[in-house]
Amino acid sequence: MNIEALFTQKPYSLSKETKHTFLAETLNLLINHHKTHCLAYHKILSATGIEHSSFSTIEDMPFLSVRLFKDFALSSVQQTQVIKTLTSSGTTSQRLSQITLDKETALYQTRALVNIVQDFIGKKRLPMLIIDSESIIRNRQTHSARGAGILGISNFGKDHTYLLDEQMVLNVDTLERFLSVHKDEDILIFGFTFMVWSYLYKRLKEIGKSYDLGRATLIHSGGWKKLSEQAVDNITFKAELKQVCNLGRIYNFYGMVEQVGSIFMECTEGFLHAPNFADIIVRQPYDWSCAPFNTNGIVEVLSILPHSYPGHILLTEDLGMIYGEDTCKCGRMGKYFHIEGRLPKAELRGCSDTHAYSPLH
Amino acid sequence: MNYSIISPPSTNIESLLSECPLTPFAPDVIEFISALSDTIFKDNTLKTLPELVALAFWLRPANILKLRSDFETKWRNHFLIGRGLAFHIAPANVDTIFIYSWFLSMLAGNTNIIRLSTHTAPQVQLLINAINSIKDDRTARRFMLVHYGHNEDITAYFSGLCNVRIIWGGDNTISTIRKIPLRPTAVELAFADRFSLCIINAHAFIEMEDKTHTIEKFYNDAYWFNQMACSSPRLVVWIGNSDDADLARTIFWQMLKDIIIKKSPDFIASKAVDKLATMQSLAIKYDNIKIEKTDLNLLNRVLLKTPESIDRTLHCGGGLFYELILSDLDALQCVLTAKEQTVSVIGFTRDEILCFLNKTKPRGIDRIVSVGKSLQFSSVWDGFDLLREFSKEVDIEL
Repeated sequence: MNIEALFTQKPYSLSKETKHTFLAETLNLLINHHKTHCLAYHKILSATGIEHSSFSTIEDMPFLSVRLFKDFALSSVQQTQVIKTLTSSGTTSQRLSQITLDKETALYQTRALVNIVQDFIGKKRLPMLIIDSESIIRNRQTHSARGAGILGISNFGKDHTYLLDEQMVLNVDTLERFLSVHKDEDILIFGFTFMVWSYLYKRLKEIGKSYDLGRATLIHSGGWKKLSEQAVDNITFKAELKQVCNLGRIYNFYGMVEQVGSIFMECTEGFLHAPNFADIIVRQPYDWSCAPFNTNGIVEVLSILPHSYPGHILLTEDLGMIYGEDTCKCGRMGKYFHIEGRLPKAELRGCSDTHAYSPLH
Repeated sequence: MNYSIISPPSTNIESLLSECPLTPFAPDVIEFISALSDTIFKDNTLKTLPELVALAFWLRPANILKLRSDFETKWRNHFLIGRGLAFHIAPANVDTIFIYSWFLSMLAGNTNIIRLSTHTAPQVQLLINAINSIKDDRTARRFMLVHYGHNEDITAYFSGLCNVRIIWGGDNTISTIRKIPLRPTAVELAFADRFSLCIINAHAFIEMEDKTHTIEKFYNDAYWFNQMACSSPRLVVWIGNSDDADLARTIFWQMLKDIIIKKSPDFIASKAVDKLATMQSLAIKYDNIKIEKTDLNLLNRVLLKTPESIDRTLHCGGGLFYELILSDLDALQCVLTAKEQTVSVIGFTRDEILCFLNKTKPRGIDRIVSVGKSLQFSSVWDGFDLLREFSKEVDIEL
């Protein structure tokens, strides 16, 4: 089996044994590929004492701190082959991750995303609403995670309609026009979790308008940090949207700019699922050992898509818990899990006691 | 002004400003300090916290009287008096520093405003309770512990009132606070980011009989403040031939690991992630480093090939040790920069160290101490004689 073969299969088809063998083989090749083509990666492996990757399990494989992409330009291709650079959508004061894509990896990302998302919305392109402002995607060479996410999901839509202006205000006229044109059709809505909540849901509630989005599917991502500060969890999110605009089909996904494409979609049972292209390991911070199922720890993500940059095995700064593998009631194979938020920052007890005066605050 | 007064419970800025400077080592002040020492030793919770016990030792009358006699010997025939109001900006990393800074200033004769970090550890609250329990109205009128958020206006207000400003807390804090003016006659002491190391004579260590005791001292130096104090050792330099160094390293780190497991210091999960990022960043930036394998994320080590790879800024504390092997003590000269503060020593004699200093005259280094004393506060800090800096001299020509 190879990556090409996966694109012709359903995204959650591989059972445990097949998947582990396949991932171990593919990732060993990928580790050696990046070791040959990315000097920084080579130096990390050498410092760790790894000369050649021939690990029998993915759990033994070396993981990179996801933070490195903020401090170093990690690339495994010549500059001339780079067709696109993705950046994380942090605030202005944060350093941004820089991800270089060549044609091959960009194509893998698109094809994997199509393969995964079609499992949820079918093969037909649907009229699509985007809960964002069109200005976010104007520059085609460099994309923020937000822009890249929108463009990725846009492949599943037609008549792409952006619902927010540059001040993030909902354009009600545009929404009404779109709904009257597509009134007997299934539609697709995409947006970032926080923006869907703040600029769609809250705005609709505020102006007291109610639309029937019963034929819509909402796909959203981007993390729960801001919403959990407002005590909004996934269950509340779904219940409120159902109530305000009859939006019943809602799928969250977990993904990151460092691993675009092989996203972890939420199933009808409310669990995030690892697709054939990717896997997740939860590690215990005390010694990096693998946490058993139902135990939380730090999330490591693995993906076979990144060829142009060494983002194939990354230790994130998210906490999560795996509930099982191949046994989810939704019927999908693969590990299923929850993300439990960001790892709390240590009190900055440094001589660089900057938190009181830092420009970051 | 939106600041909250943590201690004493009933005070205000007006009453503080109405107090006059005193001459050094006023009896009331010495009494107040020894009362706090007593309180810590008698409190069942406080006396179990090693940092506070070390503080209480420093505060006890015998030590304060020794400070006084040293001071009097040094400044005999000089008339010294407090500068007036001192404004201390305390660090978040070492919970007890604010006491040393404040008490030395109080001993010098000043009134004091101490701005505490809003991110303080629980033992700081215990310490404040202990301070509040001391019944001493005269001294209580002469200080104010305050908390406030990120508010430059309040810092500017206190800066405009004080005669001496003391900034603990590193380069970033210093550069931000330096922008806030002081009154023309005021002075400032600033404690910049520093880096500390431990040097070990490999052969002497191998021969040492009581290794456990030595390594326990090293553990205290490194782990008490989660390796985040300026004087916590972050680099271990092994001095000796490579066979000795290898053997000594094997013994040392295994014994340290056993002690860590036994003492089980606080483990902060995000530090494990920080350290991974630091070690991998070092591997990218420098050549031929070696990330040593570990199954305990409280003890991570990176063996460096050259002094150029000692990246002082990347070091994030939390039980991460850079290691370097040098053939002899003189080679240490190329490790030391102006950033170095404390060098703790295992297996070298005072004479050997003096000989090294005389021969190489290194630029850095403010302190050289036996292992176990890295965190001990001294009234001469980063090259400042604090009692002297906190007071002013009236020149008398009669």
